[in-house]
Amino acid sequence: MRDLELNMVFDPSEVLRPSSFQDAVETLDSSDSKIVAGNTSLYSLARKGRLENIKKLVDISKLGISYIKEAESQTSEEKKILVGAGTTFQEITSSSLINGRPEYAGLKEALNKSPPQIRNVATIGGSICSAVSFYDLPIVLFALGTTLKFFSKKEGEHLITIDSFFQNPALYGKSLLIECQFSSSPNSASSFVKLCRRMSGYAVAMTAARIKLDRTSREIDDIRLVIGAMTKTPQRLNQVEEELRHKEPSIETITRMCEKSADLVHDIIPSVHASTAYKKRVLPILLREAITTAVERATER
Amino acid sequence: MSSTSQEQNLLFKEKTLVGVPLQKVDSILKVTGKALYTKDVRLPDMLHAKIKRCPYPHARILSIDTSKAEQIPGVRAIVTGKDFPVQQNEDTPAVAFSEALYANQAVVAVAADQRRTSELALEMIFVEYEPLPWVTDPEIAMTPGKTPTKIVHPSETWYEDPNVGRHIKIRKGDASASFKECDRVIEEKYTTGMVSHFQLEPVTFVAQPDPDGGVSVWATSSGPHKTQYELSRYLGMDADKIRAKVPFLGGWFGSKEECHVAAICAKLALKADRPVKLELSREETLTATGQRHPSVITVKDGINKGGKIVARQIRAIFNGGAYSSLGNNVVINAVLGAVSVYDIPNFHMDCYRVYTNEQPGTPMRGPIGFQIAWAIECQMERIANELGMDPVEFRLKNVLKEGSENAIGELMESISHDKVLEQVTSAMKLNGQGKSSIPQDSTQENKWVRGRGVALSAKWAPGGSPHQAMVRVKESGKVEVWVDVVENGQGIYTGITQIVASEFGIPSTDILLMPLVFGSDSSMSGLSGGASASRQLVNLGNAVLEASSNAKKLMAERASKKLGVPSHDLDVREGRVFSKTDFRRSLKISELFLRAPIVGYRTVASFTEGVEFVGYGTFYFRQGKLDPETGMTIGGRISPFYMSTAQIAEVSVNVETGQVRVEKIVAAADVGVAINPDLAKGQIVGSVCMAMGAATSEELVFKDGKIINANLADYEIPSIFDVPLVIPILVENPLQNGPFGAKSAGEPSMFPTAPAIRNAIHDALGIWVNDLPITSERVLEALQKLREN
Repeated sequence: MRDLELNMVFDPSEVLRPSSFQDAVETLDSSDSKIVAGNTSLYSLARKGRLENIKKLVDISKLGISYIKEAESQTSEEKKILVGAGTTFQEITSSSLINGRPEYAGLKEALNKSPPQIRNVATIGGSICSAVSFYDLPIVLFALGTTLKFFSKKEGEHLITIDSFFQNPALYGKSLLIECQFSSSPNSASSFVKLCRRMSGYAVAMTAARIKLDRTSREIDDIRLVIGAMTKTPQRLNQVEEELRHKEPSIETITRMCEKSADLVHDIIPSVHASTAYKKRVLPILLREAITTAVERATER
Repeated sequence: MSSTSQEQNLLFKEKTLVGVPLQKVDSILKVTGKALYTKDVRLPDMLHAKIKRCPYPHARILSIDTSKAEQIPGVRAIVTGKDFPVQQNEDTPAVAFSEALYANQAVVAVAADQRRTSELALEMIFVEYEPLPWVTDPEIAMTPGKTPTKIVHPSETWYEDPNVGRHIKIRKGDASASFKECDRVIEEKYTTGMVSHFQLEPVTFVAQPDPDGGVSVWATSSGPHKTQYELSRYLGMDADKIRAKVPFLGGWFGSKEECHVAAICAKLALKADRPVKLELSREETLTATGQRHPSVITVKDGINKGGKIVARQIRAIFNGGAYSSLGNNVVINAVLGAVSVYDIPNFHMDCYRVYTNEQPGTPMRGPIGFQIAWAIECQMERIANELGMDPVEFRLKNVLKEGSENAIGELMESISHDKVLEQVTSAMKLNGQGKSSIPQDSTQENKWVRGRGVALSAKWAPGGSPHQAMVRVKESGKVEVWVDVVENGQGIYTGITQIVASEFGIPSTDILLMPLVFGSDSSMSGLSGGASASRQLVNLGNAVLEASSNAKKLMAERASKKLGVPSHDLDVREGRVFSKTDFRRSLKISELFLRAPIVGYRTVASFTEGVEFVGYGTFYFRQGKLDPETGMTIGGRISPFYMSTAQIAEVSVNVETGQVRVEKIVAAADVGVAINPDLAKGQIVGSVCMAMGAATSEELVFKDGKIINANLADYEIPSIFDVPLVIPILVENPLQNGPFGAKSAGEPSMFPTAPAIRNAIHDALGIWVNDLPITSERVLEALQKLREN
């Protein structure tokens, strides 16, 4: 066993402040560099001994990627919001583009779960790139079908889906996340449900849903369901989505489909205070709550 | 109204500050960052120490190679078990000698110029281990033929084979025979997990070699004299050469009785001949220092038709970890907790503290009593439910009454069991107690069900340690107070200030509490047992009152001639010495002083001829013992008094996920007389919040003999967002021998919270959870069981 104190060894010798994306990704070429954004998880990673080789910290605060705005070309059907990767939780939650909009209600719920100390510094990009299953925000972004704009040395600016990212986050270690894009459409809404042992604690289990209802039939036109803190990385529940798509969102149907969900997720991992069995039991309940809430919100629009 | 004008008004009317909610005397220092903590101590040429720890729960140390580390520039001292005078067989050694008995036990320590150098040196120290069998389950550890290992400490006088550090027996009446005659016999098992004090300030020490060969130590300790005498034992050094200082403490709760860590720091300083600072990290504080004893407690009760408990049998097993530290002493609290509330004619108890390969169990705010109260108050609810009796009525039927004798032969005096129960029930009882009276959410989909639960407990205040004080009256009428008093946030500096100010009838600003200036210092004050066991206010309060009285006597004697009044007719108040029978005959305190040049002729100072107006006081409650066979007290009481406390909790429980939300807690506590009502209420609220954490979310979890959640993310203490509405109620039943009637408020309210929450969950859903913490998973399991039955 490694000594606890030795695991704390973390000795960066340089803090770099690149002024262009190109400069930033140049620094990421070497294995001893690490991006710092909100700086909320760096210390805990260091204490866990995961930054022993890191010598250069790359501060991306000068890259001008703190913003939240609507995309210029908008259709009446779909409104796209662009959020710079360096935008803090607080900036997002206080934005008029997010507030009061049912399609982003889940986002707001997830952001508000963090205490102010985190909200004021943590960034949307940092929460995604940390690629852990127990952060709240990425679960909702995943459910929203966010598109991620990366910058890499090889490809320059390029877009990938958040689905692709979470399939193998390690692939993007040398790239710089610069923007998150998500869209809303009429009759859509999102929700976020978290089960935790204390208000500001990490989730024992959580779910996020984004639902679009058909304008005329009021059936579920599109649905994205994501679970967090249950498996190693956030996971989409494709099968449950498939079962619910084009169905009338009655409570009976939702409940029936959700009950199947526990059997469809095979790699649920326990946490310190919750066994796999418990997580399996609460998964359908959280999922049902997330879906019904999103449906209610979409119906009210 | 400002604190000063508030004081002036009250002084004018009442001439006392007792019962006045004064602002804390140290609050400005704290909010401006000027209060000194041990972590703030920085001395010239100070070294930084780090500790290498054992990675196994039990291992033989085959060799320690420090040769490479010694060659690192900047490494100034390395200590191992061989550096200490008593090595093998020592219970709670500073550093493991031949065997390490728990994961993360200290094996080697290094002091170097820089902290980083010390860390590097640890990496260059090579320890060869032979892993040995280990045990963490106390029930297995104490069973002959089952335990895989014996953790033997021959120096412990109470040792019983295998692995029992102490076994206490209480035998009153004949419980076994009585069970046969009872209408109902109910037996349940209750458990509690390992909980951390989680005080804000981790364990820290600074040691400095003194010119006379001694050592000065700044300590995060509950008392400088405790540290002084413990270090004397560890270092084999004359106690008079050890000076221990305790500045402000960033929380304590029993966590900092870690004198073996102080010994490592002091030994390094002496070996390097330079000051050394040793700061334990949060992980070390959680994994390598003492925590609350986990427990397994079985309670068996025999009840007659009328709802009277006729016989009770308790088997309480406490997981003591690898060493005793203070554990084998404080386990007696299991008895005090078990006998202090209910009047049961046939009472048998077997209480065991068992050695296992975990870090040592240590006192924690209401030590051992928390666990016993959990078991007993859960059991009381269970019985009331099975008998179909109102839980408050059932408790009242069985409580000890004023003047009755408890199961160890102590007379119960100044108790308020009935009163605290009445107070909480009337405060909470809007429409009667219980679920039926609580407004429930009427929507069908609502999955949150509300319930209310009650619990009643009592806290003791064991004597045993002498407390001394000295006061010096100055020409200005101000009073210096020299005491070993430890301010850990509870407000004792303010409490002692108010007591002395009240005795002299002067404002609190005229009290010069010297620990506020210098910290508490063993070389500057008389002996004291420090801040522990709900006794500092009573014991030191009595000591300062006696010291004040003695200083007044000296002044009266001096003033007697000048006033022509016999000294016994004189009193000292409000800066004057006056005749108690003729107030017109008085003089100012300054008139008892002479003045003389101290620097040239311009600067003069005051002095007294003969002795100064210095008074000394000692409060010592000589504690009795328990008879080893019957458990009856011999040679006096164990606890000089008891403090009653009751709570009602209101909770919401999610029937689908098992989540518990504590909505409201009404907490009543008998504090004797509240010297400072705001601070007393603060202690109640703080206790409730802390106990709620232990009840619902906190537990150190072991896997393969090691703690796996030694961090703030996974060891979940409640945040401000989780804290319910807490309504504190002060019940004032003056203690005859307490300073101005005061008892204590620091610990009692820790006891009823967890069982009240659990009983409220039962009220809501009809389930019984017998294990702490009450996790969502446990609630859901209990619900499942209920549905299956």
